[in-house]
Amino acid sequence: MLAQQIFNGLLLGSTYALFALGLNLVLGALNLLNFAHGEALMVAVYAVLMLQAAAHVSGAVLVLAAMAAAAAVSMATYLFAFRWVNKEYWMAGALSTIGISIFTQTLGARLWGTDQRQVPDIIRGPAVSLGPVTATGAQLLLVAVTVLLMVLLHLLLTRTRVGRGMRALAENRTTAMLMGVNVERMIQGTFLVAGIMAGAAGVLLTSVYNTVTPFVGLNLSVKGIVAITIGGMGNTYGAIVAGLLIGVLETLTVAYGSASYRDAIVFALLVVILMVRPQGLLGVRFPERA
Amino acid sequence: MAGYFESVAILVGINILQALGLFTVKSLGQISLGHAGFMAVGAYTASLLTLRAQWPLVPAVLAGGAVAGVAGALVGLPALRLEKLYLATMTLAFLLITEVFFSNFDYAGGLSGLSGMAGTRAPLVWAFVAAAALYFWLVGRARLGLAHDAVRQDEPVARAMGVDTTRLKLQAFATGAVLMGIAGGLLAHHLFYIEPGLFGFSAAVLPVIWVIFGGITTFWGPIAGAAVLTILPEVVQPLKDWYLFIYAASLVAVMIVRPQGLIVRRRGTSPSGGDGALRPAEAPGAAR
Amino acid sequence: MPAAAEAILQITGLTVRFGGVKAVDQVDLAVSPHTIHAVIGPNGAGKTTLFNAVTGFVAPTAARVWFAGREITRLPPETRTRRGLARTFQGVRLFREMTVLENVLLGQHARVPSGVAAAFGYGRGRDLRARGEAVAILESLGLTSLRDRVAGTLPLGVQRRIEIARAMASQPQLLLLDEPTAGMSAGEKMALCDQIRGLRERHFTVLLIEHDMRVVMGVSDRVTTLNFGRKIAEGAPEDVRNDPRVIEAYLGSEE
Repeated sequence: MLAQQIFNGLLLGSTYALFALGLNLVLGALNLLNFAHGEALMVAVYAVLMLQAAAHVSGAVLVLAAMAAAAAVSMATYLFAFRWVNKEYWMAGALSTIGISIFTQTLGARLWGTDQRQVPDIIRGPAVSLGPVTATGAQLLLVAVTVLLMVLLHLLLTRTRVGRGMRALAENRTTAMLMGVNVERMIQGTFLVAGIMAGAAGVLLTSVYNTVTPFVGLNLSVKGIVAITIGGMGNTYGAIVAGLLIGVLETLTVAYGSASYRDAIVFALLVVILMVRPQGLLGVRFPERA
Repeated sequence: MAGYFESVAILVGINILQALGLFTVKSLGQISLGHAGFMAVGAYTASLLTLRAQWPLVPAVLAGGAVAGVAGALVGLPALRLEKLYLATMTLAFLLITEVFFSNFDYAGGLSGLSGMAGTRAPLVWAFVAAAALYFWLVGRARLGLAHDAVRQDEPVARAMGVDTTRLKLQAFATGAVLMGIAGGLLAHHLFYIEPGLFGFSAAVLPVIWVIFGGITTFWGPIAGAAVLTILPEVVQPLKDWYLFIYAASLVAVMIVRPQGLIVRRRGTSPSGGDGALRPAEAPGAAR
Repeated sequence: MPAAAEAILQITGLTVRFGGVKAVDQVDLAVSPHTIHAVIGPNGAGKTTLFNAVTGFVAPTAARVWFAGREITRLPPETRTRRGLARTFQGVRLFREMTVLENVLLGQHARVPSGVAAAFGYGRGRDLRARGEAVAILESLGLTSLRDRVAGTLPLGVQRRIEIARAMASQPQLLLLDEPTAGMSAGEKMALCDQIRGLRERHFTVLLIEHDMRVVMGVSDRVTTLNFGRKIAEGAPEDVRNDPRVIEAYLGSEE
């Protein structure tokens, strides 16, 4: 029983981790906290929903469609919260993402209603027993996709020119420019990759909770921000560790404690981290001013 | 029971108090995404006092403000040491925790909240607004207002001038919390009920939109922002259905076009025959 | 314990590390009251870092700093200012959206009631007297006609003088000037030299970072030379000018 709960927790945690990775990428490169990242995920899930209702498409197509939809939202965010925004005001971008987030949520509520909707499994498959743990085919497949994505991201960041450019950007924009990095392209790339991650996270989420509302993005955004703060803002591995931690913590709290404390535990952990180790578990940036 | 116009007047007044509450913090260049949490503290305190202890309205509202102020100081102490990004996160965390706390606080009604509070009338609300405006007007003209501007423009240099920025920020945070608390108490007794969901993320973001829209260089900005954005949906009926869309879209638009907001305070005189533009200071030399 | 009982600023063993680099390495410095003491050295020698350490903007790895007989090593910048330290910044950092007078008034923040009570009228007498002093400072630097102009719209030379006025407003015992003549014309430099000498007449003490040797020779009583974070020479201006180590330091770098 415990093993199953931990597995479920890791599954949920992987969703948070994927989501937080995308959030971290943009934060690291631009010092911009993207409050609309959750909406990229929300749109991805509804895209899947719409496609499933419209036609019989394979799981692979659904996953790709989700990533594409999320990437589109992410690129729109790039335009409205970065490219066109007046950069003199340091909070302008973040506030714009809040505006985009509210706008998209409201739009979603108009289009699809605020009721919960069922999301059928992406892949129909038998439940598989691995020792004490039972997992559906969809879950296993998506876990595989998640791990693959994380590995790809790692390779992208460390082995490719594009990835190195993105990391250089995160270090120091001026130096990156001097090194000949095409900064604007890198930034666009960052938003794109982040969007893809959000889409994947959305698909993964449907295998954990089979329902969705237009406000699922808000919930994920909150968890995502908590995850990157606990893990260390800008730190890729921190996001993964923290995401998994939060997922397991939540699931265990619901299973063995009380459902109403599910979020409270996570926020309490956040406060503890902020007071005791504000740079996060794996963070290096020092958040306290001189 | 307040009539329609009085209702609108009350709401405008309460929203102005919220905007001013957030303004103290933003005028220093800081951010708080969680100030609605102080509103919840004020609302619940005032409501519990009138419902369970039969306090009259005004002392209850003031007490709500005081408790919120103390909470503001307690939250501000650790939070204001952090960099802006982490400050935003910490205040957001405070907001979320407050919501969870009140949802589980059964003495205060838990998820269903409290109901039956009454008594807010427009003159009372506007008396508070006038008092707050007077306070900001006096501070704005005094050295304290100058110090606030200095911290907003260049905090390290302000410290070099001897400004105790930590104390200033703490005072601003707590003062803002007091205003939020008073606004919360007044709101509770206007709506007749409160529940934790009222003080969530949207409640936290709306005052930010009002303040940004109105401008942060002078206290008239948040007053204008809150007033305009509260009255507009009432006056233009079709807007009411779409008000969330419009708020969100205008937030994005303002960030793109005019982030400094509607009202910008101009100090001093410009040279005649000059362009009045700020000239960049000489670029700093290489690190020594 | 301060080595020279009469030094107004005493620094021993100042070391500042950034990452693996020692920006300042074991520097000792003593500034005598009512003198003008210059710190020179090529780019990257550690001069501004020294200033930042003295004023509390950078935490040294090791150091002991005494000011006016009391140790200030661990104090935050605002407290050091209250004790009588004031500074200008490399490249000028004024409050650009404020007027000239307002910048100077800010400099008085720590000396005059400036809190909530003052907003309601407490300490009005002291406030008015301080305003009078601010106006006098503006006059002493030739800025009277510009007092209500927005600081950021004025030319660089004027902004420098405003910064000095602002630093003087706190009635400091020690004034740290970071490259005050950079970017100025020869005429402006001469005027500023007069004003700096005037500061000494009025019993201020000045610690000065400067690149222009004529300015250094013209105003300083004592010169300390830094290179690569270390002190390599110290003495009267004429001695330092002919010191082979100093010449080598400057020739060995792009100037």
